[in-house]
Amino acid sequence: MLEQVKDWDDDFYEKFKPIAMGFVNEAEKCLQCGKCTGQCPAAAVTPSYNPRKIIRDLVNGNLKRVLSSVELWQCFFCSGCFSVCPMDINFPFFVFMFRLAAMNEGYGWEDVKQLEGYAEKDYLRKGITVSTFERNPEVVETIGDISKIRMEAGLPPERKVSDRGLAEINMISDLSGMTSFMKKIGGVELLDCKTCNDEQAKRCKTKPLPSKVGKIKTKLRFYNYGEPGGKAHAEA
Amino acid sequence: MADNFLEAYGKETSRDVGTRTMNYFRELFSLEMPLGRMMKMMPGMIKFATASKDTREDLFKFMPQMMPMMKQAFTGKKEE
Repeated sequence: MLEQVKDWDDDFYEKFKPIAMGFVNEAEKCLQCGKCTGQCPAAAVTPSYNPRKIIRDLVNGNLKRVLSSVELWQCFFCSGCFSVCPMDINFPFFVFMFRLAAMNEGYGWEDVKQLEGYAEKDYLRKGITVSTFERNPEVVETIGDISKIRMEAGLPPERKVSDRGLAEINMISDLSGMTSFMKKIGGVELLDCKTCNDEQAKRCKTKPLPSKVGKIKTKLRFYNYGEPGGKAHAEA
Repeated sequence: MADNFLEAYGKETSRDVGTRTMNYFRELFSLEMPLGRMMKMMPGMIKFATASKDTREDLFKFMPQMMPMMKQAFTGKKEE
């Protein structure tokens, strides 16, 4: 199936600029020089990830391709592309906004779900957002858990948050929609190898699996910018 | 199951997806205060108000600034 003219929305970027509050309003000046891609650590590991191509698709309005791509989720916000860009295009902010748009379309919830493990589950009760549980085995063996480090320094194992601080965190979380967002993420269930059927196992070799969902419909994403890379590609 | 993104979207054009995305962002960054949004914010404010006397007093200090917003949410009319 080939892309057609109707797959591009030329007006989209012009309409999007005022809503993006001036953060991504320089993308039309992109020279397509590729400096962003050249220095990108994520692109070094996964060659199919290409910020230059994603900026081009944003300006051309090829939204179907951007939003349904796996590549949109490979940036980890080091902002290297922004710092080397000769036209000062804030690409990380664009990634941030379009991940929200992709989630609105039903893509990428499985990636956000991964972060749930690092968040403190009962942050509304404790007031701590990042879990004190250290999961890197090397760190645990050599230095120990965060709570152990704190205790050695003469601090309580967990940071104590004042009652007023707790009340503020609760209000901010409710007002900003964080509470309902965390509930939504809780509704996403990931497929694992024990439960998938033959057809899914076959697909798994070439494409990422769609997620089984609770309340949220999570769709299958595609490598829209080329074949997935890997260490072998990076070293070649 | 679709094999690529064009198949996944079926007959939908990028313009359709663009319109949907724009509507999503408009709603997300909107400063309008519809009743639905106000009702979502209420539990947080009630929690804050009931936490202690100190927080309750703090919240009431903001009441004059909040009143036009609440009025707009309940009546649906924006004050000039």
